[in-house]
This record gives sequence, structure tokens and C-alpha cells, in this order.
Amino acid sequence: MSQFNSPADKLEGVTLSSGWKVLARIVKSPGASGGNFGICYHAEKDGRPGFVKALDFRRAFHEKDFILALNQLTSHVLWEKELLEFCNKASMSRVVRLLDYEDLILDEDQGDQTKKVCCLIFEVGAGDLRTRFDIARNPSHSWRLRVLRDVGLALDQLHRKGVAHLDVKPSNVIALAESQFEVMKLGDLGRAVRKGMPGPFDAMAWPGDVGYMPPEKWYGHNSQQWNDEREAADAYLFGSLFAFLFTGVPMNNLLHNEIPDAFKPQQYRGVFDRQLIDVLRQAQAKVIAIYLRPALPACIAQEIESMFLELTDPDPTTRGDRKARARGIVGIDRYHQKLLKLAERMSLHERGILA
Amino acid sequence: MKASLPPRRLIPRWRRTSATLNLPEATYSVGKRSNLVALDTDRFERVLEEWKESPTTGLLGDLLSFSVDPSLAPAVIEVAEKALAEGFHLSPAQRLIVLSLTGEESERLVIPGALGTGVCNPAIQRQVAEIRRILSVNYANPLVLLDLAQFQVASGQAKRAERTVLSALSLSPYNRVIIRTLARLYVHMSKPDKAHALIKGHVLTPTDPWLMASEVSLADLSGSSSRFASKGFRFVRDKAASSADLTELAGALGVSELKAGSVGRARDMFRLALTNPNDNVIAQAVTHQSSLGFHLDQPVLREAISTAQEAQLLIAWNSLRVDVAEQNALMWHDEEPFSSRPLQFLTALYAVQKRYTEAENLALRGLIADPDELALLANYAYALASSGKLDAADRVLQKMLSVGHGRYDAIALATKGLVALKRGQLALGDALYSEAMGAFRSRKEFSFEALCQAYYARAAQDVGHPEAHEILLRAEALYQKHGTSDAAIVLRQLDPSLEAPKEEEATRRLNQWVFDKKTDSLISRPGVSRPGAPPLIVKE
Repeated sequence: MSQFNSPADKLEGVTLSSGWKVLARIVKSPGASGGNFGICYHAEKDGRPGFVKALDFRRAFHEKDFILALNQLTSHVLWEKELLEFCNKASMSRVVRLLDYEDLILDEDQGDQTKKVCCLIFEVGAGDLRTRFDIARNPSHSWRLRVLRDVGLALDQLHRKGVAHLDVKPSNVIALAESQFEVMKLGDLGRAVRKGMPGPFDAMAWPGDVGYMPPEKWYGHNSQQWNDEREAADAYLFGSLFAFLFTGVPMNNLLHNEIPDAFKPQQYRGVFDRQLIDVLRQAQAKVIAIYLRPALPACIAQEIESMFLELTDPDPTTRGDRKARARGIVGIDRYHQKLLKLAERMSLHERGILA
Repeated sequence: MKASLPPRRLIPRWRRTSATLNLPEATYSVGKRSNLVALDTDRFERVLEEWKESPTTGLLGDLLSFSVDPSLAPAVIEVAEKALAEGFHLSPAQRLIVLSLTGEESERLVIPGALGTGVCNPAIQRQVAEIRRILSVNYANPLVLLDLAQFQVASGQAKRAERTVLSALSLSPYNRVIIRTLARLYVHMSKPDKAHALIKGHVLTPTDPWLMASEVSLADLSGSSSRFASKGFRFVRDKAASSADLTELAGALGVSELKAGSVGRARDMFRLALTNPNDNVIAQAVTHQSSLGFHLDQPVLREAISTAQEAQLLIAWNSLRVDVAEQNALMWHDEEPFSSRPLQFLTALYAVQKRYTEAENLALRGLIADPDELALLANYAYALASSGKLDAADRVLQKMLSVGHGRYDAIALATKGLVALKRGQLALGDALYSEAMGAFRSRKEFSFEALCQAYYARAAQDVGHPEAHEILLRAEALYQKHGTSDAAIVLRQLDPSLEAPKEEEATRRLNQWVFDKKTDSLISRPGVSRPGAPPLIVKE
């Protein structure tokens, strides 16, 4: 595969028919699924930055089971493209937008339709959350809260339209300039699923990044209920961002560290039952008491702890806003409103206006 | 005063949840799936490249997320250690996680001094504060509630502890650890019937060997018949669960057989129980070692004993290594601060060693949790009398007699003898000791008689009794006939040349190795051997 000479590898300097000029190749795609088949580039059009994900379907022929690989590749790309178009149409302000889409054949390959490269062009920003978050730069708590608010809003926008992201993690939270403000947008919908719409990831126990998956997935638990299986998973990933932004460590690490050895996923021999949930709840409470609470400013500690507790509840059937859960829904919409208020209050504290 | 302890039962132990949750009794489940967490190594490499290019707190956090995969953890540790060495600004949580990954996080050590020997246990206050900190996050946390309840019992708030454990049970009604803990609490509150009814009637018991084990033991304790003994036998016989999950059930059945006089069947059950024993079973086996005649110095059992404070304490006590016994009793007390048994050992030991203030304080500490505990009252009275607080000793003896219903009368008589000797009433003292020993003799409790004589000799020497030497000689003579480690520990204070009690008769092995010269093979032969059998048999 690595020796395969693909046209998708040779796009540097090429101007696409949509006007996008392809610039330097990048290691990791900020805000779009890298996948195994995508080659990513910086791009520019009328002084506006963008980012190109180039796909060469011929790569599938070099896979062991090429029919399966080709089918996966085309269905994944089609799925992501249609989903991004759907999000664009729904005006989701906190989801990274697909700016263009086109096929191209390089000049040197003209006449050979098999060398067609498929290009997805996304909006691009000033790095992802991992590069933006550095305690050496002393990030303010109000900034952290605004980041969380933006991600909460993105998830709300997706959930309202029956989309579960399932890959919310720091590298998929992208900083973008909107008028004079910077906002955070959620990128990489390459692993998302849609309610009532069959997709390529429906049958997968966990389509997203395994390192960030919610604890029920460590123990092989699946649910038939959309809310418990999909929206609750997004809620956990959202909660994990709280841990990341206030402690610098994703929730899974902290939780794993507090779970007794015999209950760690590698050693535990049982099923995801009530007893296991009790153990995970104990570990979750320790995470809050040991790691999160000391990192929180007193004026917002109670509210943040409460939200974190609900969002990272180890039981997917009760995870989410308490009142919303009483009605059977996860209620991610409740959080971004609270977070916005907290961010404003924190901002006043930071400027010394509130004591 | 191990000899005067109430008989040990194989009831559930109530350790701190951090200890219990790492034991098979907490993890037993009918499911057997494995849950391997394998992360994307390509993504790890990409993140590593990004980190090298522009290290930030966020990228380090992302890298740390890979440490949950054991195959990637070493690489993550390398990066984290380098970051630390180069003075990279880690967040406090990142620092804690890195220390935990590198194993530099301080292990929780039980430092005997930390438990103190005052009436109040300083460890309790510290740990309750920690528990309250965690509960303040979310009170609906059943396992943390169990730890809180343990300290409530230790502080003498048994009713409050009961409410706490019931709250935990209502939050998680099918949690075995909580069910067993509540049963243990009821035993502590002298409500064995309630404990038995709880386990007997629980919907999980018919399929759960740990609950069945508790049911068998609690039936015995409450004097009722066991509903699950027969089913338990089938469970053990058919190996319906792993040996680690059957250990307590087989042990409980072994104790029942022993009580019924079926020593052979008891040995069979204990042999199975000791295949993969927990700390509770190993302590029970050490307790019954003389009845079972087992040889416990075997690799699997040595390992089990090394993690069982109670068993180590019993073994150290029996071999007169009192300093080791003290250390283990303190660790046991730290693990089960509400339990009177480790304090019974400690108070007896401190009294013998003339550390009367410590003995009095620890007796009082235990009596806070259980005000009517007779062995502690007996040790308290003895320590008070020995240190010359004779009126106080009288009052404690009075209470002991009023709550003991005849069970500790002979011991009370002996301590009254000590009080009389201390008051200079030698004839009365001699008569009371004599009466106490007579009471033991009439009940054929000869080892108690020997122990009583040993204490008499000690008291006689203490008060300058004119016949102190003769009394000591009589004590040593009686010790030669019915010696126990308890009596030896007392008498060695008077005569350091005294030898340890005689070894038990030849012991039986739980399995033997057979080496077949013809086939050049070594095979294990399971089964209880004859007494004195060698570990290896060479077959010509």
C-alpha cells in the first residue's frame, strides 16, 4: 500500500476547477476524517483557507479483499459527503462545513478515467483543541467554558436532526474565525450515524475512536435504544472534553486509573451489569474528587461538577440531563445554555467585575 | 487470649471496598467474555509526531489517552517521563496520571503508628473525611456508602451504619458485595437471624456460590437449618464455578461437616476450599488446623497466607512470634476497624507485655463499636487490675458478668482473683483462682485451666506472693500437659527458657507429587493424604 503511487499523493500545487489551490500536504486532517484512504492538504481560495481530503478509490484494489475495501471506501465517502451536505442545509453553525466537492484527473493522467481523484474541501481553522489548549499559555476558564458551549451546541444541532457524532474528541474540535470572534466547531463526521437512516457504521459496536469510547463499550455492552446507544455515547464524549479542558487528561484515562484492577476491561470477566456500574460510579466520583474539583474555580465548581456527573454517568440509560432523562431523552440541549451563562459569569469574574 | 476468643465463623468479611473489589467475590459473574482494549497504533504515531513538532498540554493529554492500551503504555510512559525531565509544564492531573503510570505513586502503606493506640482511631477521622469528599460529589454511590458505614460501626453508630448500608442496598439491590456486607453488619449487631433471612431469601442466592456460602455459615450461626447446603455440595462437587469462586462455599460446608463430627468429609471440603483460597478461608483453615491435621506450608497456601493478615496473625501467634502477630493484628484492625477480633489479640498481647495503657485504650476503642463484647471486657478488666485500677476493674467485671450470661464467669473469677491479690488479700485471691481453674476443669477445658494457672503464676510473682515459685512450677507442669501458645506467651514473661507448645501430630497433605521413573513423568495426585505423608512419591 505504501509503495502505491497514487494521483491523490500528487496534488500539491494543483488548482481545482472550483478555484481551490492545493497547498502543502499535512500529516493529520484537522476536522475531517483522515481514514486510511484520505490524503490531506492545505488549500486556499480567494485568500480563504481550506483543507482538502483527496481520495483515490484505486487504493482499494491493493487491499486483500478489494471488493469489501472498495465498497467500504465508496460507502464511507458517500455517507460523509451526504451528511455534510445535510448539515450545511440545516445551517449547523458549530459543525465544520463542507465547502466543495469535486472529482479531478491530473493533467498527466488525462484519458485514464481510473485515475480519478475525489476531493472533499472543508473549512479549516487555526488548529484543533489539542494545539490550542496549553496551560503554559494560561487559558482562561471562560475560554474553556466557551469551547464546551460550542461543542454542546454542535451536538445539540446534530441530535436535533437525528445525527450522532460518535467521535467527539479534542482533535475533532476545530478553532475557526467567525466575523471577529473565534468559535469552536465539531469536525469529522466520518463516523457519524443517523437515526432511521441505514449507514455504513450501524452494525459496528463502536465506530469512533476506541481510546475515547464510553465505558459501556469497553465491556461490550450495546443497546437497541437510539438514546442510550448513540446520544448517550455523545454525551459521554462531551463530558470527557470537560475533563480534558480542566485537567488536561481525557476522562477515560482518569476513569481507568481509578477502576480497581479486577474490574479493568482487560481483566474483568463479567458482563456490563449493575455491580459493574456501581464500581464505575465509585471510580467516577473519585475522578471528580481527586482530579476535577481541585482544577475548578470555586464560582463555577458546583455547576461544572453537576454537569460532568450527569454527562459521564457510567450507566448509558441514565446518562444526560436528569430532568430530560425522566422523559427518556438525553437532553444535550440543556448543557450549552447553562455553559454559555457560566462562561459569561466566569468572564465577569476574570475581569474583576464580579467578586 | 486467643484461647478465650469466640469460635471463628466463615461469615463474609467486611473489608474496605478498595480491597474487596479486587477479589473474586466482587467480580464473580456468569459471563466470561474478555474485553481487550486495542487502540489505533497509526493514530498514536501521528499524535506522537504532532507532539514532537509542537508540544502542548492538549497534545500530551491526547497522548496519555493511549496509555489504557497495555501495548502502547510503555511508549506513552517514555514520552511522559521525557516531558517531565525536560521541565514541560504538566497539569496537576497529568502529573498524577504519569506518576501512576510509572508506578511512582506512593503505595498505601499501613504504618502501625498511624492507627495510634489511643481510644480514638486517628485513621478513621482521616478516612471518613476522604469518603465524605467523594460522597459530596454524589451521595447515590453505593460502594462508597459501604466504606462510610464501616467507619460508622467502628464509631459505635451501628444503627446509622445499618441505615447507610440499607441505602446502598436500595440503590443497588443485586450487588453481592452490598448484600454480604449487610449480612455481616447484622452479625455484628447480634442479629444473625436477620442476616440469615436476608441471604436465604435473596433472589441471587440460588445461583451465586458466594451468597450460598454466606447462607450456610449464617444458618449455622443463627442455629437454623441451611436451605442451600445440599445445593452447595452439588455446586462444589460439579465444579459449577471456578475454584476461586467456590472456595468460601466449600469452606463453609467444611465447617458444617466439622461441627457435625464428619472430619473426613470436612477434610474433603477444605481440600477443595484450599485449591484457591481467599483470606477468609485460609484464616478458617488455620483456625481448624489441629482438627483437620492439614499441612499448610505449601506454595499456593503460602501465597494466600501472605495476603491474609488474620491467618498470618494466627500463625505468628501460634509460633510465639509476638512482634509479627502485633503487626498483622494492627493491619487487620486497619482493614476492619469495627471488628473486635484484632483488638482482642492486641489487648491480650499488650496486657501480657505490661503495656497496660495501650491495652486499656484499644479495649475501649473496641468497646465503642461493640459495648458488650465479652473478650474485650475481659481484657479491659485484666489490664485495669494489672495497672492497679482495682475499683474500675471491679466495675468492668460487674458489667461482664451481667451481660455474659455465664459464658465468661470462670474468666471473671480469675480476674477477681487478680484484683484480690493486688489488694493484698492473698487467701481470697488464691481461692478465686482455684475456683476459676476448677470451673474450667469441670468443663474439661484443660487448656483454659493451664492458661488460667499461667496468669495466676504471673499475678503471684507480680504481687510478691510467698508461694510464687510453687505456683509457677504448677503452671509449667500444667502447661506441659495442656500447653497452648497463649499460655506460652504468658509464661515466657516469667521463664524465657520455656519451650513452645509441642508440635501437632503428623500432618496431612492436600495433594502429593508422584514421579514415575518408567515414564519419567511427574504428576499431581490430588486428595487428602495419610498423616505424615511425604510431598513426593517416587514410583519405581
